[in-house]
Amino acid sequence: MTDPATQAPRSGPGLHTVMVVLSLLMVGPFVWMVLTSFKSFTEAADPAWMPGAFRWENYPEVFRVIPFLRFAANSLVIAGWVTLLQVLTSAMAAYSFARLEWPGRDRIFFLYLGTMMLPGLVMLIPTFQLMVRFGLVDTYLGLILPAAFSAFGTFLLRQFMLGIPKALDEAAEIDGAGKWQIFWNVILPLSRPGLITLAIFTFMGNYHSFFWPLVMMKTVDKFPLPVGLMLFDSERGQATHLLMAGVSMSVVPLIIIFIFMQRQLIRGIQIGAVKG
Amino acid sequence: MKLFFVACILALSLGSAFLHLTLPGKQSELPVMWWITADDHYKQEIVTVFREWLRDEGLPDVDLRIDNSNQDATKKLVQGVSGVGADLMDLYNFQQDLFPATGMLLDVTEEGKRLGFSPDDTYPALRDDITQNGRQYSFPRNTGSALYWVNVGTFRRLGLTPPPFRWNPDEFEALGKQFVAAANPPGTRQRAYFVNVVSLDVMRRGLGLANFNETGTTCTLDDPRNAAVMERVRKWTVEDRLLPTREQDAAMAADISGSGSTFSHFDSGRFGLIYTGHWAFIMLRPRGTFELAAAEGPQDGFPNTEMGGGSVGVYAGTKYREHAVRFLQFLGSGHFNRLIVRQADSLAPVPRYAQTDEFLRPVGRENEWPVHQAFGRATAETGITVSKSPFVLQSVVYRLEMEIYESLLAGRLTPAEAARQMGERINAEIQQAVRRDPGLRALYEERVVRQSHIEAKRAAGERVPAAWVTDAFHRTYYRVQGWLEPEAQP
Amino acid sequence: MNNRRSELRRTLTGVGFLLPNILGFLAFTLVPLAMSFFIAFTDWDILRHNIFRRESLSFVGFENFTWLFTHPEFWHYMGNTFFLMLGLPFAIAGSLGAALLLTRVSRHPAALRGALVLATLVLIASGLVLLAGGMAEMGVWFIFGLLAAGMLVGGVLTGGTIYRTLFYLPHFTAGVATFVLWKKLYNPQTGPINFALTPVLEQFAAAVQVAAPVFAVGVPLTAGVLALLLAGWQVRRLVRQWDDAAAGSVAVALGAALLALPAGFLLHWLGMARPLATAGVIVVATALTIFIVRRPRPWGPVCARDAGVSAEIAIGLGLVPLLLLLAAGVALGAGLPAAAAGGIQPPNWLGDYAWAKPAIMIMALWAAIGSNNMILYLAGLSNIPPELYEAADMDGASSMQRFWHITWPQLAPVTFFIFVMGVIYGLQGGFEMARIMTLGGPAGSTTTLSYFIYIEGFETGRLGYASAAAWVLFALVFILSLLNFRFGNRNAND
Repeated sequence: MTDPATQAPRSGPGLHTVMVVLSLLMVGPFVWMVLTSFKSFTEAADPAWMPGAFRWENYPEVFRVIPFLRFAANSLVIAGWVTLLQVLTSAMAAYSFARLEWPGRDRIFFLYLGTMMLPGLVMLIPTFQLMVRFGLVDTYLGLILPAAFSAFGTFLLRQFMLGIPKALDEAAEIDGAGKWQIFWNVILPLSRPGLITLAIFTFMGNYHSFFWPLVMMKTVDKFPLPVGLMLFDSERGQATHLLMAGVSMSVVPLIIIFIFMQRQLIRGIQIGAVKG
Repeated sequence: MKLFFVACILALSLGSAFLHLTLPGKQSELPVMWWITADDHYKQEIVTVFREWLRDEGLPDVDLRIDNSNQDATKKLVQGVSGVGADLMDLYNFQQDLFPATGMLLDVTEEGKRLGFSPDDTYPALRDDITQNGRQYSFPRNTGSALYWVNVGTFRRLGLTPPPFRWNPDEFEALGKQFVAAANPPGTRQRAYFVNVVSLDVMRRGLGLANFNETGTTCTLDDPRNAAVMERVRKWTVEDRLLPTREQDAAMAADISGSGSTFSHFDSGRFGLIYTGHWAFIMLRPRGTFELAAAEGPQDGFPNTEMGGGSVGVYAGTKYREHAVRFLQFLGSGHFNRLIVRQADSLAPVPRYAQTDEFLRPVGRENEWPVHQAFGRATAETGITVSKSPFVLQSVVYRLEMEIYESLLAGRLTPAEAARQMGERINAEIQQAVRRDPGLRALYEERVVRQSHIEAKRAAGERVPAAWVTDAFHRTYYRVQGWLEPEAQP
Repeated sequence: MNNRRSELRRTLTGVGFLLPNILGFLAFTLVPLAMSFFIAFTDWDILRHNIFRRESLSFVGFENFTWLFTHPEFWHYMGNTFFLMLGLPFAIAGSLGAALLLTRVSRHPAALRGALVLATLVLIASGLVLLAGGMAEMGVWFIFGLLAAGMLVGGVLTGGTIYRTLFYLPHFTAGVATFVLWKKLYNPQTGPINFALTPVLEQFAAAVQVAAPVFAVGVPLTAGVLALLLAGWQVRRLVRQWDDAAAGSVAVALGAALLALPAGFLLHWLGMARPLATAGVIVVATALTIFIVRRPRPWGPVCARDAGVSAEIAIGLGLVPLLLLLAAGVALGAGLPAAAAGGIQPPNWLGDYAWAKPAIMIMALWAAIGSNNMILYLAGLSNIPPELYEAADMDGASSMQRFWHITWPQLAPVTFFIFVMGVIYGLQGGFEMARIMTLGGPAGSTTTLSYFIYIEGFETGRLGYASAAAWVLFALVFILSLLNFRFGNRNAND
């Protein structure tokens, strides 16, 4: 028996053993993290893996000490907006680069691609100055806007859209559809896996962003999760056990998204040669 | 698809609206003032007592709130210079010269004199921490010298005599070797150390050497005395293993509250001595009753201790200037100073409160008496703040010093090379800053001239006018050595 | 006329679709970019130029850049940045390996019974361990046993899903949480890594002392033999590449030089002076190159001189660290028993000058294997047409041959993309890590360019230097990406 994709021999017990061992290696640090989340304050500075007794009350404690749900809601809404804006604008740009013919298109695309090389740090300081000027410091918009437009998303979707047969939009054009209608009704639905992939990448990336929100936000009720959780590991003292409990909880929504979306995720990526 | 996007937009809009509407407003009839500090019951008590004090003084009430979520040093700086700082800010270490330099702190010189929280109202040694170029920008909240805390029980258990209050490096080394040998069973991995850290500054100053010269124009760490001190501490670290490498020192530096493992190691005897401030009581009291003593850092020659602590400054962009300044006045009041004595969170900013019985001999805490007395004595008699130069930031000096000293520990530099590099690199920073800032350049040129006058006088064996010596260490050192001209009586 | 009108319309439509993205891009990328370029040539210092102190800015020309270039620590930090990048090929190989393994796992209900039996056995064994050792001592083994049993059953039932999720797990805690977690893991006093290593190393030290001669001779011997085998394989490969006209003379010289480099280090570690060892490297590399290139190709020179350079770089990036490790074994193995006499201490990880960078690289590897790169590879693998494999099977190709002749070239665009992005992000990386884990120490060994930029810009407030350093970083990224495109893209497109 062979696997249809790689024509490799199908999985046997050996392969499963290898996978389990590797998985345990990957999971090891998390096991420590979750175990530590059940420790008491003093035990958390102790090298033993096991807590003396499982302190489930650490989890309610997290909600008591910091507004965890508020942080989570902030994170979800901010990352949600960023994802939505990025998917929409990137899809439009990708459509233009992949499916429309216009002079200078490829040259502009490469220029645009080149901006991926710019270190984000170069722009960090001036962007902050801009935010001060626009009065966006300590606002949700100040976190959403700078993250909402990316060359990476455009690139990913362009590669995907190149793989959609040309005949489809030609047929639609013959039926008298305009470019916008073709985009909305033909290309976008066909790009679903690509859109989902970009959405997941963007969402996860933004869900984890730390330094920018750290310097931008001032009101504690507007903090996203990573900044909020780091209150447990800051000048005000280290509550390792609560930090670990908080991080453990913050991972849950991502795992759920991933489990349900992973097949779509893999289908959504087409990386041909950059020349396209 | 269209529907999906519309649903997304709708859901996100609803979410945003919800988040926006549920933002807690600042509903308060009083002016709301924010103070960036840690949110623990000590600070909450301070807020309560502040409002009591306002009432007792017949001053208008304010709603002072603690902001513990913006303590990140970078964030304080970046937001502060951009106009969105908090009304009152705790200042530690580097922030005491960095923040005033940016202009983001209110100049409170006049108010300090008028309302009784001028540099004359606290320890004279702290002048450099709360002023810059002769102007006052903050007032100490808690202060004191750093000393070694001795866990007497640990020494007794090992059959060793606890260290004396004052000792030289040889005595330190001898006892340290005994301690490490006794505390670690042979053939096992070393788990117990004599001390957590040794202060290079104290040892250098014992030999009459500070980071900078008398006027702050030159870094003097390229001195052979520095090389000798660094080599000695390197040997204690790498060869005698009296102290751990600075592996956690970096982590500790990020963790000002020091609630890491240091205290539990002190508790369990894995550190015989820990070097820290008087505030450690707030960490140790909950751990039980120890038999305690205190010792100075080891040093030859000139006795000195490292003085420092947190101060509070008023943000220049505050809307409540009057009220915020009142808080500094409160820090100089009896209400506050008695509170700090009771909390044992460092020494009170006003020196006379360290002479009271409440401080020196708290009832029911007899085990603490030797430590209170030692800290009171060290702070009043030998405490000196770190040498600062107006021409280079403390954070830069500290980073370079740390990096080069660690290179020495890693065996990548010889002591002489390390000392030379410290001098060269810090002096290069001074030169660069002076070249760029015309304001600094004028001051620098003036100071260079004065420095040459000082050196000429010293070479001729003459005394120097006190106003010439601006460096914190040299001011004290010159006075004790009798190198200063007697101050003219007004 | 009409033609031009329609062209104009097409351009307008095309640009119209771009507009939302481009506008945002202009506002939040191009404007800050222009500003940072401008700042790099000024003395902007937030100490003197902020809303409270509005002193006038002055242009300082290239002074910020000369200040950087004349400071040795800047070069040190640049070196650190590149050193940490050496982990990239391993991360890529890890992601590819993980993806290859994952595609082989499929749902396998027939094996369920076997898996259940195995899982039960694992559970019983770990339960016995728990009973024997007690919760505090052995609880963690029980938990791992439980997890293993669960994974096994889940893996058989769901196909790759569960493994895929677990491999991707590090990505869920990306960023600060990872750094905090690993800082705690690496803590020499309270961290679980050294807690686990200490007894192992004590046992090992004891074993070394019992059988000192075996280790004193065996370790260097084994390392030496392995190194020679590896080197021999690479020489044979080079010869074949040359013969097949897959590698030009430049590529051969590069391959030879990379091969000779570890030998030079070995000579140096064995006590030879640095210049002599360097000379040795040059001699060996030249001799090897001449030996290979002087042999006539069976059908004459048919490829460019620099053909195959990227392959040599890729191979070298994996080969050189391996050979260095083996060389260290040769050089230091003999001294092992003496070193073990005092007991072997587990490394001080982030606190040790020599270990800090490898510690960071291990963490990065853990985080990178199951990251988006693995997803990209999984996608790439599923896009390979099955007919290619069918054809190869007809020719009776071995699995190694199938990999090198079908999978690897088919994945070349993905690898290229991952490599380019890896270089771009790798060069910019390290500042959040340093901020949270090491503060750039010890002795500056984990200060990367980006952490330096952060310190200058946000801690010291010298925006001029920070921007200048950022532009140097940009130049580096740009040059490396160009090189990638020049050498890598050609392969990817072949």
